[in-house]
Amino acid sequence: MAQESGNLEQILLALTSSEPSERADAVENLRYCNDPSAVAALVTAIEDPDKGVRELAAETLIARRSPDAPAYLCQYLSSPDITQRNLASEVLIKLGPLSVDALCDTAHDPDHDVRKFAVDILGAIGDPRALHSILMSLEDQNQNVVCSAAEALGMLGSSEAVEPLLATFETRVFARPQIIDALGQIGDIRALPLLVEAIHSDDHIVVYSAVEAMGNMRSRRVEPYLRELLVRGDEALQEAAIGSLIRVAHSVDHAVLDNLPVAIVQLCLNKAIRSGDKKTKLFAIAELRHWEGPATVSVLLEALNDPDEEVMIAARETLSLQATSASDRIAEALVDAPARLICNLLDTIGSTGNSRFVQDIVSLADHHDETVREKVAFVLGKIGDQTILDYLMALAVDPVGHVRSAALKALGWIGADKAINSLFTALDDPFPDVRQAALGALVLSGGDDAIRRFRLDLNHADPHRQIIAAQALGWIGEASVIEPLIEALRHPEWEVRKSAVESLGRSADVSALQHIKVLLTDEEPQVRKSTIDAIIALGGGDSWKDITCMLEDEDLWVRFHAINGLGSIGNREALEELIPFLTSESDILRVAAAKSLARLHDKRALPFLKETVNDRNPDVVGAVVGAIDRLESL
Amino acid sequence: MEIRVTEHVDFITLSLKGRLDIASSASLKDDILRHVARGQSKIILNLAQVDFINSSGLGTLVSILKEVRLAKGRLVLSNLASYVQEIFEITQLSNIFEIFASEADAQDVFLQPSARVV
Repeated sequence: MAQESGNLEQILLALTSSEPSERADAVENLRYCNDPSAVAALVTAIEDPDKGVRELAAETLIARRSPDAPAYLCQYLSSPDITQRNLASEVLIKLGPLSVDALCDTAHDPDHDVRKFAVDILGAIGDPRALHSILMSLEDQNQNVVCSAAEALGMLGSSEAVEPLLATFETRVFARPQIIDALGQIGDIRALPLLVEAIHSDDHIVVYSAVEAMGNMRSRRVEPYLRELLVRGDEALQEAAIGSLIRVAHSVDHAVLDNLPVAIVQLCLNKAIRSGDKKTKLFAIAELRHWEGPATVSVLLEALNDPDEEVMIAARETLSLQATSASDRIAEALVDAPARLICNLLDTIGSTGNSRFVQDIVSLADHHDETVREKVAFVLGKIGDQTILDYLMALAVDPVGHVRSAALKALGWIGADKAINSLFTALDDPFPDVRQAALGALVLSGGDDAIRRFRLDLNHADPHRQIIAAQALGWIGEASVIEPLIEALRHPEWEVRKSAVESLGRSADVSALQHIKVLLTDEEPQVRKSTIDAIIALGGGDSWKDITCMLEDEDLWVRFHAINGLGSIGNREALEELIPFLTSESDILRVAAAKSLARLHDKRALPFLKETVNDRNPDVVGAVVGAIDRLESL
Repeated sequence: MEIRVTEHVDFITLSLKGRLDIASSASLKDDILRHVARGQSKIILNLAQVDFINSSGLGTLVSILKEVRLAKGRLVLSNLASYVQEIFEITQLSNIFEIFASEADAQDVFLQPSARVV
């Protein structure tokens, strides 16, 4: 709610109210107050005893992005109240570059704690403008400030900090781990000699920091030094070294990992999957394809449950490659796992087509979770083992529609003649998806029994089933369907005749042509249109002669279809048949004629097209101009 | 049916031309399984010039897919004509085949950065 600046006094008064809700309203009003004192008032609100008011004040300061705010906020870095200090720090970080100047000033505060906080915040902001101020802090008398400065320089990642850090490494022994970390984060190869020296240090913390830093160097030059650590006999150090080699492999070259001890690499990759960021996880999961072993399976199973879809899919792909060797662990994991993990495991198994798991999968066919039952059906279909037909037929009558649908699809993929009755029954299912799945499965099964049943269905009591039968026979497409389809051309239902003629058109059986032509005089225009398509499909270039008689059809859309058909056949002999339609009374026929003439690639059409270029209808003019352009470009 | 084989470093492409039915499907399966036996189990089937496919052809494709998977290979399809695409949708086979609009898209599946062999 906007308030005029004239109301500032009232707002400030409200800030001192004993009611937190009134103070919160005051903070909210300050968000829109343009008076310069509003910022100072907002900053003081982070001292509010009520947490909600404090957080609202912080949020408002961040939203306002006032350049004056950081200077006020920096004062709170010396507050003895840790809550106020932390809240001020949080706001300063979120204000980002806006805070840099005030923080650089504060980094030279007489109080060393304040200096440390300021340097910490500058590091978190990571703005390069703070570099010189932080470099000065590297020479601070206070050890904590120096350590913070080294860390902040690492976060800035500027190579300008390398030489000062190297110099400080010699003089400020207490800050060596932080300096090494910073050099690692900067990743400048100039730091390598120092890191090499550091891995020989007696100080374990320094050694581990150096190993970690080498992993960030993005250079194969660190490889011999890290490999050298693998023979020291210190397992923890070996692990750290391989962890760093993996990071170098990730950023530079996979070959860095050649000939390393398998068990330790697996351990490091497993750790990377468990604790790394998304990129590292994906790299480690992909890398595990080459480090197959029992130790890798558990972590891949865990990654199957990763909330990130990409990580989960990567784990599934890697695990599927190890499905044979890891089959016992996978089967074990299927028991009592949460539904999502079971589904992911089933997908893993499904992508391998490995029938080893069939018994484990069918044991889930009565799982309480419907998504699991659906996945069971899907995966059984992908594995395609005939021994599981009974389970799929049971799932085909599951109370849940999408489970039935998955089971019917699976039956189709397996090609189960035994299931024909179940599939035909499902054609009457109340759910369209289930009916569609049953139809697809019957088309796929394509056996004599299915053809016989569909042939009978051409006379089914339900006209819809008659139409489906005519379509299905076409999709089955075997030679034995031609005869029933030809019979169906005389079916009393026009939609059946239409489906039959379309199916015959797709059959590529030229012997059907003579039977199809009869339907050019069918009483139903939709049938005549489909007949034109079927004749073109079967008759090829010579079919134009059969189509020309349809140019005089009583139905406008049939004539339109015939004109388009002549264009798609592309036989130049149809030119004289099309020319008269350029002057048809019907706009759509004139457009169709112009377009079809263009497709004949015959320049004899040009004079006739040019005569029509001033047609009263702009759509016709567009089609005519397009046709002229096309023919003239030949 | 004509089958033209193009061998790439990491995969092979079989471009099919003609009818995929009971008459042609057995020879297609034999051809593909011969490649799989030689270790060429990453396969693209380009169906651009398949103008007819029926349930026998589809059944054969499903059977080939299973064999390739068991050999730890990968079979993908590309360039399905609209009629063939339609029949894949009807039979729900689009749920079990990886289908790509173009051969270039299908190739991308196999053109991952080369894996390191230990």
